[in-house]
Amino acid sequence: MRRSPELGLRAGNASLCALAETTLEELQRSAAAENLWLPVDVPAQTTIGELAASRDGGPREARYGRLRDRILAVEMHGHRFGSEAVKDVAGLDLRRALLGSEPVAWAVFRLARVPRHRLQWRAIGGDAFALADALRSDPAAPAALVVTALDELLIASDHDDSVDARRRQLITRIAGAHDAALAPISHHEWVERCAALPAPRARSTGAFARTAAAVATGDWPSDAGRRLALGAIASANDRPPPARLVSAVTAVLR
Amino acid sequence: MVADELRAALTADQVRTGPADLAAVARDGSHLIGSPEAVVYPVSAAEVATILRIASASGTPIVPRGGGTSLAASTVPNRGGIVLAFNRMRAIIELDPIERTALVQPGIANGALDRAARAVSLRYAPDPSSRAVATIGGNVGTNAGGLHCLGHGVTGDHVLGLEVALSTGEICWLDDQALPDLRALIIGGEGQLAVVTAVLCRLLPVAERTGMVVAAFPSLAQTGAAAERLVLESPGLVACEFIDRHMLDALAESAPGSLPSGVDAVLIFEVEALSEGIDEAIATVRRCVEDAGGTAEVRLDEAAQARAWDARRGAAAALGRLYPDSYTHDFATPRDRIVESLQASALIAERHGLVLSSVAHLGDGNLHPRLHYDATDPSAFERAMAASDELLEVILENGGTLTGEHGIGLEKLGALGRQYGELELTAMRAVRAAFDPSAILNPGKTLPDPGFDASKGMYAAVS
Repeated sequence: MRRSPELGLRAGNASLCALAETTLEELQRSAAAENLWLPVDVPAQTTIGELAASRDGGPREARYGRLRDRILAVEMHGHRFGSEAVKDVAGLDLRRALLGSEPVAWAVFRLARVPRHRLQWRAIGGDAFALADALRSDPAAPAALVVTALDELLIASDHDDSVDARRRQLITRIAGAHDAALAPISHHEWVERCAALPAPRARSTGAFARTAAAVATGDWPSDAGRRLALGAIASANDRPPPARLVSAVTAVLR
Repeated sequence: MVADELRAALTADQVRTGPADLAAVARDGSHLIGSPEAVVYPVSAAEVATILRIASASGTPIVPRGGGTSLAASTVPNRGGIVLAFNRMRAIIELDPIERTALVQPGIANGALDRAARAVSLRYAPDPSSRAVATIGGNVGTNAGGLHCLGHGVTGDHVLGLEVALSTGEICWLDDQALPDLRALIIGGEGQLAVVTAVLCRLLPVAERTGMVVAAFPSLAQTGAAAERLVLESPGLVACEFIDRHMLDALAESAPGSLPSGVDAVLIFEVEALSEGIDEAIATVRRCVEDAGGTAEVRLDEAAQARAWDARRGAAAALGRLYPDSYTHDFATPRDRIVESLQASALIAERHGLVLSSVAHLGDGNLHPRLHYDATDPSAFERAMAASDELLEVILENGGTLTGEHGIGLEKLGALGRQYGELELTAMRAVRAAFDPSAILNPGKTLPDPGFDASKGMYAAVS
């Protein structure tokens, strides 16, 4: 028979089980002991319960994958779903389906290695959309890009390999070509700025600039961007699942 | 008769009932055989909805089918009815290189989507070994994994939205932002909740450089230790694939020179990096391999890498020539129990007098031990089942799962109740009933009915 996960870090599996009331700061401190972290851009005092409810790991999801896909197991209303394996397709995935609509008592997270370099910048001036697109299309693209205004781009660059120079040069060169001035910002400032952005900033598939821009400016650089970021909502509104289905699934654990 | 109703609603050519037509869809990648009454080939979501309405009215089972590669009998028409085959719905509706997405029909082969994406320097990352045939719709049904999921995740990580037809004939769009996330239920739902009619897939840029290290090890313990360490320490590692001695011996005959032979196990590592970083990424892998007592062969050119991947994908088929009767498992274990699980598998198989061979997505802890038995020996199947039960117990005790990527289907129906209690199973059944109140979609699989007798062990539905 399966066993319950033990609370705390399971370093060899790069996973960590935390109670809902645990803060992200506490989680990150435990993980850091083994050079691991939960790669989210969320304020340190956020609790695991709040984090799970938001389903939103912030802009670094573009680099590390969606927060919801980092949650290996949960307990909701006394039901336990998932396992401590990183792949698990046994049974219906009520863990992801109900994340955000039902509270979790605990959750097991899949962690990542702390990158050797973790840098953030603020680029002011020029066309932030054009700058973001130019950066995004390069193989040395930063980990995350957030347009906060038409002339302000936040840039995060995480990497492990020894090509720090190329990544820095790319950002410097492209920012210069777009008449943007670069200023380093702390991880704390990055997190605070990202947390202040309204959801759903993580909708897009890597084109975070456009997603954030939709929220920040209501402006869109392309029809494709508009469709992707808003299209799902529009489509859902056009052809939403039947209300009877939504309410039945919502109530299934209650 | 349902077939006549379907012919009236579609065209006669789309509804087949001939023996050869039915034989072609009676089985899949498992060894089980069903008995379909008709096979229908829709060309649009609207036709799928029509078929579902007709089937619902008469309570006729519907079995959605993509490439027919299920290894868990998820697409075997075990209760008769209609096989809904997606051979004629394999279009790329739109591929958007700016947003890096593709909206596709479910019948497109995984490999075909990847080829189309690579034409614009993108790729579709989930890559099951059967990708040349396996379809995106089928991949959604099992939340399929593959060889590079260590680096890039499984199908569900790459599905942004789904168009589905419900058994009532309603068509709706399931967005990944809505609450609850109904999309997540369809992914891995094995066609029991709704029929997928379009998939919005996320595409990734191709890597600037890839490098491969083929590592040979003299023992399972050393192999597992290298894998456990590397998945935590190696930047840019996107694949860590395990092939055991039996598989290597078979490959030495079918694909000579593709991989080392005469060793206990091989790991194929692949790293992705920028050009300047590839040497460092490979050096890290090489160091870990050699520290664990293995030997490392670096492959930088694409042709040499492709030979290794082709061999890996063909390993099961190569072995089939030597051992025609076998059971393939799909356990996934936490990654700090890889060594223990490999060793336990070997011991349990030996104790039951069975030959064991294995491939594994070892970086994910996803193991595919294959128990070989002689079908002419009446006790052999029973021994294979008993060994399977013991293996499952080890996996669950370590916090793992019955299935990492193949799904439950019919083959593992008896074991889901070992992983989940009645509380969770009841919730899953309620979800299923909410989606498909007439219970016509892929019935008799995936979720054991209340009172299901699993006393015969994990393969109760089979044996």
